[in-house]
Amino acid sequence: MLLRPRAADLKVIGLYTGRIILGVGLLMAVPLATGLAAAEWRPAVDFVIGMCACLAFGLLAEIACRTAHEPTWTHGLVVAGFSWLAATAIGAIPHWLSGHYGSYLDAMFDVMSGYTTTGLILIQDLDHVSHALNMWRHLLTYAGGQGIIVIALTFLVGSASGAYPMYVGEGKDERLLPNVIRTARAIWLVSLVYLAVSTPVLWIISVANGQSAALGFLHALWISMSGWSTGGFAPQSYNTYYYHSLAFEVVTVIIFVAGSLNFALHWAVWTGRRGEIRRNIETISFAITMTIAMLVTTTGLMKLGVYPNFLAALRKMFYQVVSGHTTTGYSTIYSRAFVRQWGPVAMLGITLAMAIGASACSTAGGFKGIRVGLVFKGLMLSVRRALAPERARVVVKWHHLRTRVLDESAISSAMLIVICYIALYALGTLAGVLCGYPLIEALFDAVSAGSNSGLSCGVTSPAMPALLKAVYLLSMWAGRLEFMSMFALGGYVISIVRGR
Amino acid sequence: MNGNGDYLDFRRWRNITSYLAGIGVETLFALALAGIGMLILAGFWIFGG
Repeated sequence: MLLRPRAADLKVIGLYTGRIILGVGLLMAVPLATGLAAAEWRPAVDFVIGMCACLAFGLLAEIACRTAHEPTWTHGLVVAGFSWLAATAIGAIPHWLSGHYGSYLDAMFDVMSGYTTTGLILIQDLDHVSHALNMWRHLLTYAGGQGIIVIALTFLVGSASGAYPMYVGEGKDERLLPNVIRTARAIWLVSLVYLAVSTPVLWIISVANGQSAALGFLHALWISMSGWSTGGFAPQSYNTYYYHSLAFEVVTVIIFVAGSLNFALHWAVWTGRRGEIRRNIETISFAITMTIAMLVTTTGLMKLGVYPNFLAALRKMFYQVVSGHTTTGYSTIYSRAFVRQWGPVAMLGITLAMAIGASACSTAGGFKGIRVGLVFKGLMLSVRRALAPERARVVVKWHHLRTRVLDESAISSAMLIVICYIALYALGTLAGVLCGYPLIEALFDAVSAGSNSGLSCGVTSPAMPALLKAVYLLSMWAGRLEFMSMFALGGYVISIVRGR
Repeated sequence: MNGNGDYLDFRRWRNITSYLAGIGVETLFALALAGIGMLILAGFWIFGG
């Protein structure tokens, strides 16, 4: 029997959602300051309007939903699911007012793509976007990478009790430190240190390549933010192909590979357990599946003789595969080159890489290495049990921060999420095919949206049907939150309508 | 406080050194992946025809 939520439950959800939207409004101060500094008055007004809308929503929620109740597990999951949708709807105001979008849905698509660190875009005339809007686009993806709830936990939620369910609802389920708020601060520390190191390096490369110091700094900052978050946004329509620089490519690869690692792994390595990176099930799984994806992609490229030069082939193949596998979406080829030059085998290699994705509790999407590793070890366990004598006790171990014995519950929960992702990819592909796109292209972009990768073979464009835009938007949301929050929110809505 | 929690203080030189060492290890991991990519491509280039 479904129980209809009480007014007190809705107040808790409203209060915490309001606080998260308040956090989004405060974030808009950064692009507003950028607009003022660059004398971009119209974009600055757009951000004042956006900030006012967020602050009004947050303050109204604070007044109307005042409550002393702490959120339960259900509340936390519902808040996580609902706040991402609300933050997308309200956060799209400056995008829409910029005049670079064909519809409000397009603006929401790009905002969801930013929060979920996907990188698919529907923006028009990207090369002439204001610095303020570019700052907002990249800040969204940087904030989304860490998690907008992590921001709220760090700055706006004072009490640790009740915070953990929201943190888990956002697709992160590991505590770096015993206290969840200190965990959120540790996540920010890792991200900010990486930003502080990578921005000057990219800045030097940009200036050496001929960009002015001011523009070079902004590009370096934005690419660092988006690369670390495995977001894939760039300030130019040619993405990272715009820079035509081997040094730029090497540094961005290091940034997004680091961004795709588990925050708990970062914390272990940074606090002295350097050997963890060699032993961890996620990094081992990542290296193996990356090798398979590179083999498939290289087979496709060599079959068609796409690149006659060894270094060119290595640069293009490696960058695209790593970008796909880390679910970043940075690209050094044109979107349509996947179809017209690379062909179906290489596209399947990239699709496989995107579908698997990188690490859990990171900025990346996809199945995640830990689940692929656990499912594979589960298979090994079944085979070894079948071959062992009847009375033998077969034990398989796995290592993630500590060594554990593999049990059925770990295998089944990993398998369940993998099945959910496969269903999500299949639904997106079906929607693409029904909208008239060839199967391989529909599969490529559907997997890209569902795994929050951001590489596109040309399906995702302002001209695609509104239905497909909505499907991809929801795919990005479901994939980023890893389904539980989406199911909880759906169940909550049903219980409001049909509960007793 | 938990021992690892001490590392949250980014004003200590010891911690900054530890962060940079961590970034160095993660950079080596990324470069090792590039090494695998190079070996695969070289294999195809030499033996694949």
